This record gives sequence, structure tokens and C-alpha cells, in this order.
Amino acid sequence: MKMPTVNEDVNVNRDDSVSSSVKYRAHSTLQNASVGQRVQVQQIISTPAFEARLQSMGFVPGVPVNIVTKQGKSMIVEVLRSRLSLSAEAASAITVKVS
Amino acid sequence: MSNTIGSKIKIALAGNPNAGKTTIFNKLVGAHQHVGNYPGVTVEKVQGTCHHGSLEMLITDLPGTYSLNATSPEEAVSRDFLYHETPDMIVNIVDASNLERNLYLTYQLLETGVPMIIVLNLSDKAKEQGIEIDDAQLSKALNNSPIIRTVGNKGTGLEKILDAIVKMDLTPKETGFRLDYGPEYEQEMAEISRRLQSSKTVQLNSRISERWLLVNLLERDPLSPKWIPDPQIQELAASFAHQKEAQTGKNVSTIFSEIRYQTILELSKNVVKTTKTNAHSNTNKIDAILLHRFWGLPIFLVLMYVLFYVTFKLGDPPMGWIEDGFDMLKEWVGGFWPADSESFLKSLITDGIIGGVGGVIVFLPNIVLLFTGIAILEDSGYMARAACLLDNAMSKFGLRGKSFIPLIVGFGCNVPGIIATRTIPNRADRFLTILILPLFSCGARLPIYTLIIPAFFPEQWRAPILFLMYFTGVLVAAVLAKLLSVSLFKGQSEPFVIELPSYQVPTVFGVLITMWRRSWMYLKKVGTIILGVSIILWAMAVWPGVSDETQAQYDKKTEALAAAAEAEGIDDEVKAKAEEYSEKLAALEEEGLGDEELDTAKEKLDKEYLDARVNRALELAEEQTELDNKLAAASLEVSLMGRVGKIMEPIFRPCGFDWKMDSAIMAGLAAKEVVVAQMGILYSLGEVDEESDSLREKLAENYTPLQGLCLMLFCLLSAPCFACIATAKQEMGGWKWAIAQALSLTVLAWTITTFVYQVGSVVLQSKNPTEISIVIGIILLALIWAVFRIANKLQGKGGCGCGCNKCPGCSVRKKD
Repeated sequence: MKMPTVNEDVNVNRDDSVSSSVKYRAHSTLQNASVGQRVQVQQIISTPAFEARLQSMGFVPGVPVNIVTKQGKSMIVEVLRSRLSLSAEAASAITVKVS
Repeated sequence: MSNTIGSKIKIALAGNPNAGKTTIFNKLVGAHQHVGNYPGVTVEKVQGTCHHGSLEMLITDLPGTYSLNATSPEEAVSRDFLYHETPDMIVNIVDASNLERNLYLTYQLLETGVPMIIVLNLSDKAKEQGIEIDDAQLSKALNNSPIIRTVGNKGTGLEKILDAIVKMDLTPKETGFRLDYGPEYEQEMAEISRRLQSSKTVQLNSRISERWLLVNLLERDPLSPKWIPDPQIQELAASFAHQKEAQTGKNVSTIFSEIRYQTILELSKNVVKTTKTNAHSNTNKIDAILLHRFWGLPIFLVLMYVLFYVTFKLGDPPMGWIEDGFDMLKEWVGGFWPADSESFLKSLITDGIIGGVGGVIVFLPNIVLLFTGIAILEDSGYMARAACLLDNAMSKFGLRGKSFIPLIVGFGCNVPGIIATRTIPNRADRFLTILILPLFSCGARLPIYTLIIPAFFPEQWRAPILFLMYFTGVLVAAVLAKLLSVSLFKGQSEPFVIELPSYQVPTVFGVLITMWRRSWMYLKKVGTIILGVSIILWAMAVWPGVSDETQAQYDKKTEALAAAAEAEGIDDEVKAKAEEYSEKLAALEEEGLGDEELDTAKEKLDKEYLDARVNRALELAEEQTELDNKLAAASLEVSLMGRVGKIMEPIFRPCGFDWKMDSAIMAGLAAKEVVVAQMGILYSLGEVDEESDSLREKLAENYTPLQGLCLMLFCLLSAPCFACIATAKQEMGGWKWAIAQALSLTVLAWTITTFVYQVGSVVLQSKNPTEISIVIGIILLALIWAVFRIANKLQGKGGCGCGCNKCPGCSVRKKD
């Protein structure tokens, strides 16, 4: 599966029906980050339940994330001293910026 | 004030998963614990009592959670427990080597206002990793909660926890802990608080702080309307939250968690010192092997093979002992009645109750061993890796990595398989796994195959057909899972994320307790259900019994045989000799001698025992057995079970079944292996097992191989046994789901079996059946492939618009 690479500077209106007042800025996702990189969580774009789960596990805006390895489509990251494994889908829901 | 003598205080044990909470719980309460369920959900509720000095404590082990946001059943019950059952205090187990993440839950717990003791567990691991924590400062920041250091698996520091509990001040405080959420939110909360005072509809629980409920309300927690049922106040909060979301582009809950984490990161700067880098080096090294791109999966498969090999190999002898034990019990209990008694009560107790319950308990060794193995893998930290390895492959069928273990367990017995789905956090993923699990051919269906396959198919076909049965089950399960994941559960599945805990050596005590908890639940639930169903099925098979006329005929013939025996001078002594001969002959045949050896041994035996009178006695005994079997068959034919079979005959005729097969299938609802026994009774062969050649001959005489295949297929695909249906009900929280599952599986089984029988009948009459079957097989596989393609397309629709179209879990969050 090819992950689409999104240009960081382009404004993408994700879905008009969801919220007309909020324009999401498209950022590179955790999925696009490479091994050894240190990034910071920027935003989680998913259902409220999954957003809450990711937040409780440490994926909150501003928190640093360390990419340990990538294995096939999944990856292992370090967040606040804990090691987490994420599938491509989960990693794509987290936008990050390189710190 | 220290806690008064003689009072019993309620303590909630809370903490993150993998923080060592259960280890501490087990050490504190030892064997004084029991497992139940929280009302309405499947999350285990584990409680135990503990004495320290004169204080008695009731400790509840809350499920391990990362937060109190009610998005998973575990979190919801933890919160419900804190709100409803009002514990006197919380003992919060914190993983010292992972302080920051653990502090998130800690802050939420503090905000509830319940007094709390903080236990820094795994402090040895933290030290090893070069993490130093300033306890005094930490305590100050956390509302002066007492802090205790422990090493749970070594038991150090546990006394101190108990001392701290005794010393804890439980008098309600005026000012509780407050996290500052910024002026705008504080103002709003103050406003709502004012309104709450005047609202008559809301009565707040005294122990939970009002402020925490207000935080929940603003976060628009799904459970908060339950606690603040005033619609006006809810509306006020919602409109405020809306306004904030429009302003900031973020949910209030996101903003609040950001504030919590900012507080935590700020605090950790002052409180935590890290003297070493690369703390996870050992875990990294092991993961490099166990999660290796190429070797990870083979290593996993080898581990699974070992697990199942050990389970079934070591489980075999105790299974034999349990079987023997129940047989002895049956005989012993039966001994209270005269030998030829026809008492209904005797039959009920020996065949109905002892037989039925024994049939379930016999699986206990396998289940205990399997649960022990799984507990070891879980406690070592490997299970999280296994889920990780399999997620990619399983997601192609709409399942998750965490579904794998339950499905594999299902090959042994579906019941523990369904119970094992508890480890799947997302509801949709868990339900989907439970719904398809009965299609994994369990150990109790194997006797049906081993009876039928040799009856109809030549040697070289047997193994492939057996494999075909298992494969068909898995294939149908895969298709069904895919279809359900894009229809009923569309978009509800959750992307996979799991914590990989550090590896550790499991403790014997911990493994045994986990194993015991699960095995006990199996025994308790399944034991009671099976008991009831066994009695019902037994009653259906014996009631109302043969007509007086038939019985009279039987009695007359029996008497005639007895009279003949007497007339020919066959006394008790001869009968005893004949019986001994039969027993010895049977024993000989079981010894597994070579043909020649067997013949000589038989000859020797014949010489020793047989004379004219003994021969005649044997003949008469055989006639008597035949009579008995005929009576049993006649009784079954007129019984409720037989009648139901006959009523169902038209329904199942398209599948190629007659009433005998129908009633065998019905009996299979009690336990699948009963199908074999039932066929034996119906063909007047008395008690048979799957190795019975006489039954195979009868089957081959009466049915075609196609009918045999269809019977196996139906037993594989249709509703599972009652124990399994009841477990599914328990785990999915309602009969609605369990009955829908059983019915749909039966309809599915009927459809597939009818298709196979009807098409098969036509194909077999054609000139070249083999080629046509192959063509049909290819067409079916192509159809399945097409179904998957279409399902993938369906899944792609309605995504978030980012263009990747791969996103059931990545849909844009709903902003109402």
C-alpha cells in the first residue's frame, strides 16, 4: 500500500459536512516519519473514542515521540518512556512535526 | 484521625495496564479473592479481603486502564465503581519506570476527590534504567498523597502500603485537589456549579467531587448526562463546548488532556532525573529477534505449536482419569438400584446429570493447561508482540491482531476461545471475533469426523477430507468476518495500537492465580448451564417412553429367553463364566497384539472357557442385547427427541438428512460429540464411540458418502453447543446477540449444506464428476475472491477525503 505523502504547506479542507468553520491543516503523519527521527505530536484526526485512547496513552499535542523501528506496515515508537506498537492506520491518524 | 478499630474499609486498586497492579493485589489478598462480573458487562470484577492489625479491608482490583475517559468497558466500569460503590480510598499503582504516562490516570483519579495512596511500583526497574524520583516533591504536587515504593513481584514494600492505609485520613476535606484549566473554563465551571446548587434534579454523590463531574461535563463525556441529568445544564455546557471548539479547532477533552500532560511534563522536569540513556536496550534486543521481519512469524508459530502440543499431550492422561472417575461414579451411584432397574431417577442421575457434567469436566485438563500457557505468555510480555505480528495479516479479513489468540484457542474448545476475546479492547472487534469463532472446528467436532470419514471414504481420501473440514470452517469464517466488518461493524473497528511492556520472567503464583480465575469461571458458568441442558436433553430422549404394547412384547421375549436359558440348564455359574469370557476377549482385543498373536491368544481363551453351555449362554446374551437395543431405538423414535427429528425432516430434507440425522444434530446442541452417541442409539447399537466399526457399517448401508459429508458440514457450520451459545451471551451482554448468532449460523449451515447436497447429487450422476467438482471448486474460490474485492470497495467509501481510501479507523472525528 502506498501512503499518500501530503505537502505540509497545503491547506486541505477535509470534509465540508463535518465542520465548515474548522479548516484542517494537512501535516505529515507519524506514518511518514522515519526511524531514529524525533517528532512532536501535533494533532489526532480520528473518532473521539480513538482520539481519547491515543491521548491516554500519551499522544497529546506537544509530546515528543521517538521512532524506534518500522516493521512492514507497523512501527514501534517510544512515548514518555513507554514503548508502543502502532499499525499504519493508527500512525496515519497522528499528525506530527519534526522537532 | 486514624481509622477506627473494627471497621471494614473499601479500597479500590487502580492503575495502568502493565504497572504490576494484579501482582500487588494477589500478594495483598492471597487466596482470599473471588471473581465476578460487573453488572451488564463482561469485565471481570475481582475482589479480595485483607486484614492488617485490627482493620479489615475489602480490596477491589479495578481493570487496568490508561484513563478514566469512558471509551472502553474497562474505563467505564472503573468510573462506575468509583461513583457508585464509593470506595473509601484509592490505592493507585504507578509504574515508576514510566512515571509520566502513569501520572495521567493519577491526575484524573486525584480530580475525583477520593483519598489516594500512590504506590511507586517496579522501583527496582526504574533504578536499573537510571530513573530517580524525588518522592517528597512528587507527593507535594499530588495533593500530599502518601507515596510508597514497592517491588511487587518480590513483595517488598507491601507492609508499608497496609500501614499507610491504616494511617490514612479519611475525613472529607473542604478543598480537594484542583487542576487549573485556565480562566475561561474555570469561570464556566463556576457558573455551572452555581446553577447546580439551585437545580433540584441533580443530587451529587457525596464522595466524588462536583468539580470532576463538571470537568466530565465540559469534556462531553458520554456518561456525564447520567450523573448530571439536568437538561438545561447539559445544554449550557454543550453550547460552551461548541463555542470553544469552533474557536480553537480542538475538542475540550483534547484541550484538557493537553493541560494535564503539560502539568505532568512540567512536574517531571523537577521530580524525575534520568541518569542513563537508552533505557530499553534489553527489551529492544529481544524485540529485534521476536519481532523480526522474517523470523518473527515463524518463531510465533513454533511457540503456538508448542503451546497446543503441550496442552493436548499433557492433557490426555488426566482426561482419561476424569473419564474413568465419572464412569466409576456412575457405576457406584447406579449400584443403589437393583441391577436391572428401569428407574427413571437412576437414569436421570447417572446418564443425565453425571454423564452430562462429566462430559464438560473432562475438558478441564486441556483448559487448565491452555490457560496456564497463555498466562505465561501474557505475563512475560510476549502476547502484546504476538498481536502486533499478526495484525497486518488479520486486518485483511476485517479482524485485528488481538483476535488471533481467541480464534486459535477456539480450535481446542470454543468456550474458552470466546472468553479469551476479553483481551480485545474495541467492542466491534471483540463482537466480530466472537461471532465467527464457532466456525473454528472445536475438539468436540473431531469425533464426528473420525466416525464418518472412514465409514464412507477410502484410505487415501481420509486425511484430505479431514483437512477440508477445518479449512472450510476457516474459509467461511474469513468471508463472514470480511462481510460483517464492512456491513454491521462498518467503521467501528479501531486502528491497532498496543503497549509493548518490558519483558519479564512470569512468577509461578501470578500465573497460577490468573489460570485459576479463568478456569473457575469456565467451570462455574459452563457447569451450571450444561447441567440444566443435559437434564432437558435426557428427558427429551426418554420421554414419554414406548407404548405398553411394545413394552409387553419386549418383556415377553425377555422372559422367553430367560425360560430358554433355564430349560437348557444355564445357571448363574455358566452366565458368570460367559461374562468373564466376554470381558477377557474384549481386553485381549484392546491389547493391540499382532494378528497371529491375537489368534493364538483367542484360541487359548476359547479352550479355557467355551463349552456347549457357555456358547449357548453367549448366544442368548447376544439376543438379549439385541432386544434391549431395539427397545432403546423404539423408545427414542417415539420420544420427544425422535418426534422433533421427524417434524424437522421436511426442513432438512434438502440437506440430505433423515429424521435420525436430524435428532442427532439436535442432540449435538448439548455437546457436539453427542451426535456420535445419538446415531449409535438410533441404529440400535447401544453405547458407541467414534471408533465403532459396527456403527460405520450401518451408516455406510443407510447413507451415501455425500450425505455423510453433508452431515459433517452441517455439524461444523451450524449453531455451536449450548455452552458456547451461553458463553457468547455472557460475553456479548445479551441473549439477542447470542440467539441471532446461533440462528444465522444455522441458516448459513443449512444453505451451504443444501447447496453441496443438491449440486453434489447432480454432479455425481454426471459422467465425469471429478472434473466438474474441480471446476465448481474453482468457480467458488473465484466468487470468494470477488466478494473480498467488492467488500474492500465498500470499505473504501465514505472516508475522510484525504484520498487514501483505506480508512475505517481514520474517519474524521464527528463534531456533531
